[in-house]
Formats: sequence, C-alpha cells, structure tokens
Amino acid sequence: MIWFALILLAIGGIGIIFKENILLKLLSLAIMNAAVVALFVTIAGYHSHIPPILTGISREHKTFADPLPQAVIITSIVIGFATMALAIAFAMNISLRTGTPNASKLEERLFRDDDH
Amino acid sequence: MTITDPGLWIIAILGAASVAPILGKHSRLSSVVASILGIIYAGLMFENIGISGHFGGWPLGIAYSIEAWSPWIAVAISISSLVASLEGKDKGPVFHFLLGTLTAVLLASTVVSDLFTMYVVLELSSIIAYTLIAYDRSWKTSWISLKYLILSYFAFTIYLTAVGLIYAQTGTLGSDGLSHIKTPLLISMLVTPIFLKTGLFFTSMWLPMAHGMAPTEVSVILSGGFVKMGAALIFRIWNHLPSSATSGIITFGIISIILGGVGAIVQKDVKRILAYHTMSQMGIVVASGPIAGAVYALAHAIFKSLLFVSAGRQITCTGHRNIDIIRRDGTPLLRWTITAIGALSMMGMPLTLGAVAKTLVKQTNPYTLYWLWLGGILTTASMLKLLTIPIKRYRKTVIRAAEVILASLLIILGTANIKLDILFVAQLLAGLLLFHLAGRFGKHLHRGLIKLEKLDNALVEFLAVLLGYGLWIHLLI
Repeated sequence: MIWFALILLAIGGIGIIFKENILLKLLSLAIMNAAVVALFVTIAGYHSHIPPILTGISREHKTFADPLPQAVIITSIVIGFATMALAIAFAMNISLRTGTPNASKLEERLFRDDDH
Repeated sequence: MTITDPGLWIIAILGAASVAPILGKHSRLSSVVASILGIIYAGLMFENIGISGHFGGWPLGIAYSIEAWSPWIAVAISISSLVASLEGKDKGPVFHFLLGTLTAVLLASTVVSDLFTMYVVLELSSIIAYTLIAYDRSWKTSWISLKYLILSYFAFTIYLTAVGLIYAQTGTLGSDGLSHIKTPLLISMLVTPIFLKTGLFFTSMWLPMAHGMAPTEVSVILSGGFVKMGAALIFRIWNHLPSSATSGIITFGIISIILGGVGAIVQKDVKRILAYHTMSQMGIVVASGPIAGAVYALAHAIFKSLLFVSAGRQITCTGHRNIDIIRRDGTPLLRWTITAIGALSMMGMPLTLGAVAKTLVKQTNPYTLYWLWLGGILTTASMLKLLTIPIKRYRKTVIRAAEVILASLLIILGTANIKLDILFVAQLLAGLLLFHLAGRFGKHLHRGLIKLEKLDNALVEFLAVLLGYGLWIHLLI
C-alpha cells in the first residue's frame, strides 16, 4: 500500500511539471495531497486494522490501528482545502484578467517587461 | 521573569491581531501592538533559554523548547513586523489582521519542536504570505503568488511524505527522532522543502519576483521575517542531523551566497536587487550554523527592512523601479543617507551592525572568512549601484520614523566594532572593479536568471537539489 501512495505521489508530481494549464497543475497538486493522506492512513493500519475505539468489550490481547497518523492528517486535509480554495481564486483572477490559463504564456508576459 | 508557556504569548499576539477588523480606520494599532508584544516576548526568551515542555499538557499538547538561537530570530521577526505595520499606514483592516497573524505564526516557528507542528507553521504562514503578496489583486502579483503556491505546496507534500515515513520508522514525530534516521533520501526530503522557505538559490526561485513585486510593507516582512522562519526550522533540526547532512547545508548556503550575489549584480529593478541579496544573505545565515547565524539573521532583518522601506519610498516618489532611470534622476540627500547606511551595513563596513555580525560569524567558525569575504565583494559590487545615485535637491523629502529608528539602530549597535579591517578595504576595491565589469556580462546572465525563475524550471531545480542533497549525504555518511 505504501508503494501505491508513493506512485500516486509521483503521478501528481509529473502532472505539475508537465501540464501547461494552471487548473491541471492544481488538480495534480490535489492528487499529491490525496496520495499523502493515503500514505498516512496506510501507516496507521500498518500493524492492525481494528479501529482504536473503546467499546467496553475486552480487547486486551489485540493490537489496534495507530490513531496518531489519522489525527494529524486531518490537519493536512484542512490546510490542503484552504490552499486549494485560495489557488483557484488566484487562477480565476489571472485567467479573467489575462484571458489565458497557460502557464508558459503567463511567464512570458510576466518577464517581458523585466527583460532589457 | 519566566515564561510559563510560549503558547499563551502566541495566543495573546493572535488576539491582538484579530481585533483589527473591529478597529476599522485605526486597525494599524492592532498589528503594531502585536509586533510590540512579539518584541517583549522575544526579550523574555533571552532569560528562558533551555526550557521545554508541552503546551496544553502531556501527552496531547504541542511540544516546545526554547533554544539559544530562538530569541535572536524572534527579535528579527518582531522588528521587521513592526516596521511593516508602521509603514502600512494606508492599508486596510484585512492587511493588518493578516500581518499580525503572520507575526504570531512566525514567532511560533522559533519554539515548535515536532516535525508535524513545523509543517503546520510552515503552511499556515505560507497561506498568509500568498494573500499578502497578491494584496493589490493585479494579475501579475496573483500569478507570482500562485507560482509560489504551486512550488511550495509541491515541496510540502514531499515534506509531509518524509514525516510520515519517519514516523513509520521511529514511532515519533519529535525532531529528536531524526537522529535514528539513516536513509539519505528521507533526510533530503525533509530538509530541502525547508530550503525553499529559507530563500536559498535554486530552491527558492519564487523569491526574487515575490519580494520584488509585492507591496513594500509585504517585502519588508517577507525579507525581514518570513525567510528567518526557514532558518529557525533548519537550526531546530541541525543537531539531530548526521554531520554529512549539516556539511551539505553549509555547502548549499555558500553556493547561495555566491549565486545570489551574482544575481543581484545583474538586476536592474531596485527591489529585485534587494530580493537577490536576501538569497545571498540567507546563505550566510544558514552556512554560519545556529548561534552566529541567528545573530546575523537579526542584523539582516534590520538593514534589509531599512533598505526595502527606502527603496519603496524611492519608487513611490519617482514612479520608477529601474535603477538606471533612478540614477539619471538623482535622489535627495536624506534619502541617499538612509539608503547608504543600510547598504554599507550590508557590505559589513566597520561602525555598522553588519560588521559586528560578520565579526561574530568569523569568530565562531574561522574557516568562514573566505566565503564571507567573497560574498562581501559581490555585495559591494551590487550595493555600489545604490551608493552611486547622484544627490539632487528636491522640494520635499519625507523620511518616516521607522527609517530613522532602523538607521540609528544600525549605527548605535555598530559601535561595538570600531576596528578598521584591512580586508574591508580590499573588499571595497575588488567590489569597485567588479561593479565596472558588470555591464559587459550582465545582459546574458540576466536572461539566464529569468530562465531559472520560470515555474517549470524552478520545480525541476527543486527536485535536482533534493536528489543532489540526498546523494551528498549518501556519499559522505
């Protein structure tokens, strides 16, 4: 499962570098974030899949899933959501004002004034 | 006085920032109070070096510890935040709210001691920084900010992956768990994303545009305070890394000193010159190691804030950003003096704070002498562009209180070192020579730098540094 998450991470990374459209770049970022979430969930269930919830039934001889990775990754999901919302707002502002969502065209326009 | 809980101070600063929307026209008060609280807190930290604990109680609380370098970085962050809030006279409540919050988060970075809270601090401060860079909502700043967002989000996904894998191996999120990690790539995946925030060459190619094009107040807090957070986090894990990893950090810092300095020489935009200088100076901070680096970071925060404020005033007065046009038009005497104090301090002239900080770095590690001198030559060559602006008489010159305070701080603290250094004279002469030669090769280098700054290339450079650093550790371990 860890390899599955890492392959997903690589797919997202390749998308960010090779896609020209800003929105596709952002989509690749979202894939990378999902991959990390999958990785943390995998780490949590490394030793056992039994949810770490006390139900009153004696489970003394069983090992539970690790609750810590799941608890911390929720923070990352929230941060990912906030960052993505901000990124999409930027992307909307940029494409409305310039008429293009193409990253390399935007780079050319940005540096044209600066070049001498 | 002892600090019972650094967390309470951070909450107090956040509280001061969050009243900004209620204050309306007087919202600047809230961010000023937030940064003054930050300075008091940093002052208290000097007496509480070495304390550690869990904010919120063990085992669920957030681990913190105050190290010997923490107060210096905290003072640097608070001072640049104070300057930014004093300068943001015409900005609205949203700006001051964001600035105050950013100060609190940056100050938190000096005490956090576990890898996941470090991630939260990094991401939270970055979200505020993206919003501040694009504060004027033009497409240019939005694109610069989005570029930075994509780079930084990409890097921090890798950082988080490393944190997850380290947790799987060691069973702890604390930074001391790093001592047990022996996989070079894992260390590289953890450290290289922090390089991106520290403003080192190749990993931080977002920096020149972001610091150069953002509003002046934002440039001040980004160059003075924000990049110091990255340095603080590197110092936090410094002692837990194997010696091959720290030697890699020092080497990368030296590369940044040289290339950042070369970048500053060939730039034409006055704020981009200063932005490339931030890369070069952060190289010195990182390569000097924890204690001397933190003191140098404070000195850098003071003179860089002063230079950015002065450059911003110059741009608003004349309406030009290009150094050639500014040199054609001239500048009033007072403005020139303020710029000169900042520039000479950055060059490390005796009688200024820059010289005191550089002497301290040299005393801590004697071998730093060579690259400090080389960096000094490059700094001199690019600062001569600002120093050779002709002085002209203007009807009205406005000098703000913040500029006078910063300039006098540089001079007063600089009296600690009054020894005239023969090396400084040599540095000045070599810088002068380089300044005259710069015109010949400048154009091609400038084109090359623009290529390096493009988004796709910046992503590839980041990955290359990540792999290169991993290889370095692998070969030397």
